[in-house]
Amino acid sequence: MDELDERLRRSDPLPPGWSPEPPDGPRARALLEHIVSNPVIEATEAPPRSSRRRWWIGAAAAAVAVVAVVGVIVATRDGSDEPTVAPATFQLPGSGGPTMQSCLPVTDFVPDRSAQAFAGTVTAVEASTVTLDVDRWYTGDSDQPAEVVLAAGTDVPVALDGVDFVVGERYLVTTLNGEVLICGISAPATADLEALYGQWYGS
Amino acid sequence: MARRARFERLFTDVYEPLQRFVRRRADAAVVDDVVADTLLVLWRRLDDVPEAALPWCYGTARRCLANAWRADERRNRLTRRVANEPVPIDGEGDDTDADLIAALEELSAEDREIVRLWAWEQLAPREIAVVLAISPNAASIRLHRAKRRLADLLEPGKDGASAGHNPAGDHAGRTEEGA
Repeated sequence: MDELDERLRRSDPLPPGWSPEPPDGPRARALLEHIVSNPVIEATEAPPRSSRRRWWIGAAAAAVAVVAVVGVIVATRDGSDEPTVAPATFQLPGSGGPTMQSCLPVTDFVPDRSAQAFAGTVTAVEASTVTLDVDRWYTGDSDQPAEVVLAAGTDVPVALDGVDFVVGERYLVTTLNGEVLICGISAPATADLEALYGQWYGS
Repeated sequence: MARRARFERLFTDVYEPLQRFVRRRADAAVVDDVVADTLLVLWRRLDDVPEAALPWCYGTARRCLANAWRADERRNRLTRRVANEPVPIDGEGDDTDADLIAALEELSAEDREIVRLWAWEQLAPREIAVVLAISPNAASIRLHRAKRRLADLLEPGKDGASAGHNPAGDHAGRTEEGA
């Protein structure tokens, strides 16, 4: 091993004397048992995708034009060494979208691999937009925007399933192809919905 | 049950290195949570996990860390950090190689992580590629360039220095199977 390799190895920041807990220790075993008590995501158990795909295709076809500006990293530096990530914009579905009668039970929802999901708190509601401060992205890599704007089309209410957004309230949101999915999939954050998001997206 | 048996085997394989990985990048207070989150993803996504699971787990842990930092960032925006950046470790300091740390700071965040994955986690380039979701060729080339840049920064004018050898095969102590 040459000098640089040795210096890099010595730069390992693990504190002296610190050691990880062994996998057969009591805390590790308790963690393992806790984890395996959680539901799993098994593709083989998912309902046939064809019917779901038809539903989503129908939803997409009925929706207004989709505008998605996602994760654009702006190379500006605002005095810090931190890259700024531009807010993402997603479209709220139009009034011609799927009605509640066409909604599947939210527990039957199977997210598409290209879906994007996040949790965020509403910071502003304008005439045609709502802004959320994101505290968690369930999908994507680490460079995700901290702010999201949901935009409604002309004569479309800024609402989810007909319910207005409330400043200060936290929401869980799933989008597909730039459009917010409704039918209870995107909704105010509750413990039950958060558990479903954990199940759907796994992190 | 086959699923549980496989999970238990992977859990045993990755539990300790995963704790080291997170501890190198985060305060002790969040290690348990991030490791637990990562292993929960491992359980739920077990069907998608390759047999060589450790690099996959490191990649997942990076996302869990980013979520933890994002939550921390939200609580206190004055302490915002670059998402990929390890936080200072308690107790680190007295024998810190300041020149090396300064040189590492000259690299991009992802190149720093490539070097750290190589040096600390002892990953081969193709395993680094899994962690960062880049191609093995890109990982190999970027590791080679990052090490050469580090060598130049540490010893200006010393051409080639320690990193000027074959980028793909320069890890005598590392097998392609990883740490």
